[in-house]
Amino acid sequence: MNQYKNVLLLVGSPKGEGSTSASLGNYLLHKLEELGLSSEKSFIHRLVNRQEKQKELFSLVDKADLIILSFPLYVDSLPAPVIKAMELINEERALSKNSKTQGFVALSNCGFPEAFQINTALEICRIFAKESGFDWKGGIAFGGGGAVNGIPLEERGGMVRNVRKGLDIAAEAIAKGKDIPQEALDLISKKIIPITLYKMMGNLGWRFQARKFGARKRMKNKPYSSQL
Amino acid sequence: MKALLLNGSIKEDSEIDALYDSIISELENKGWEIESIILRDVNVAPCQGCFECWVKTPGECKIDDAGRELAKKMVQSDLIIHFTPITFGGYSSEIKRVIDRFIPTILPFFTKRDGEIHHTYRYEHRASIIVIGILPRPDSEKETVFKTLVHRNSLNMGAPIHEALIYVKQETDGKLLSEFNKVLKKVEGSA
Repeated sequence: MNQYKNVLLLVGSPKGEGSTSASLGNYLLHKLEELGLSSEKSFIHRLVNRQEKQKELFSLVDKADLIILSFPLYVDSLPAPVIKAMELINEERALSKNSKTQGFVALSNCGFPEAFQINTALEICRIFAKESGFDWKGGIAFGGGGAVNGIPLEERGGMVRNVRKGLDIAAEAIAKGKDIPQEALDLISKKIIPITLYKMMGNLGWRFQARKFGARKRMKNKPYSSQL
Repeated sequence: MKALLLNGSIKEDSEIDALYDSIISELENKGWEIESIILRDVNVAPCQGCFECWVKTPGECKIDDAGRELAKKMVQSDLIIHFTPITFGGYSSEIKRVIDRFIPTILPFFTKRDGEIHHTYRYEHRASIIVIGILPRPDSEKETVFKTLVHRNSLNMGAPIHEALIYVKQETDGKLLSEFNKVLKKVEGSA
C-alpha cells in the first residue's frame, strides 16, 4: 500500500523542461504516477524571485506528501536559485509547521562521469530536509549527464538502462514510504561508459558546439588576463 | 597583492559586520590592496546554465551585470575571501549566485586531476580561496560538509591555497583571526 497520495517534482535547472534534471525527474514522476500517486511539477527558477511566486512555492510544498528535488550540480553544490528556495522554505516552515509527514528525495546529475562528485550537494539536501521537518528518503546521484542531455530517458536506449532500472526500484520503495534501496542508488550511479571515452566524447562535443558558433579557435581566450 | 572580499550575509548583523571589518583591517595592516563587495547590495543574475561562456563568447558570460565584473575581478586577484552564513552545510544563496557565475574562468575541457575528472583551467594565474563560514552554534555535521565543499571547489577552480574557517557566533574572534593570519602567510608565501 502506498504511503503517499501525491508527489511534487521541483526541477532546479534553469534549462527547465529541456534539462537532464527534468528528464530524470519526469521518469521518476511517471513511475510514481503508474503506482497510483497524483503528481504536480514546477520549476524553481520561476518561483523564487517575486513574493507572489514564493507564496506559490510554499503552497505547492505544503500540499505535497512527497517532494522530489531534481537539480544539476553547479560548482559542487546546488544552483543558487535552488539554495534560495531552500532558504525560503526553511524560513517559512519555521513559522508554520506542517503536521503531516512529508517525504523528501533529492535527485541530482552532473556533467562529470563520476557520480560521487555529487555527494556533497546531496549532504546539503539531507541537512535541509532534516532542518525543515521533511522525512529524508535518500539522495540519488547520476554522473555523465551529458549522455542524457535533456532527452527523455525512455528515448536514450540501452546506455541508460541501469538508470531506468534503478529509478524503477527507487519508485517502488518511495511510494511505500521506504528509503531508497542501496541497490537502486548503485545502479543509477554506475558509470554509463568508460571514463576515458566519456572524456574524449565530451571534449569533442564542446569543440563541436563552439564550431557551430564560429568560436572554435577562440575557446581558450583569456579576456581578463591583460590587466594582470 | 590583491584580495577580493565577498560578503554573502543575507541581512545586516552587527556581530558579523564587526568580524568582516576585522578581516579587512588584518589585510590592510599587511599591505593588501582590497576590494570589498556586499553581495546583497549588487545585482548578480543567476547562471542560466547555457554554457555560452564556453562555446560562443569564450571566457565571458553573456549576462552583462555585476556577475561578469566579479568574475573579472576574481581572475585579477591573488586571494578571494568568501564570507557566508553556513546554509545547510553549504554557502548562502548570495555567495553561490556569484560562484556559479565564475564558470567562464575555467575551460569546458575535461582532464584527470587527483584521479577525478575536472575541467581544465583557463588562466595560469589563479586566486587562493579562503571561505569564512558562520554558524549560530557549533555543529560538527555542517562543519564537515562545509569544509568538504570548500576543498572540492578549490580542486575545481585550481586555487593554489585554500582554507575553510568556521566562526561560531558569540565566540571571540581572536581564534578565527589567528587562523586567518596563518593562512594569509601561506598565501603570501605562495605568490
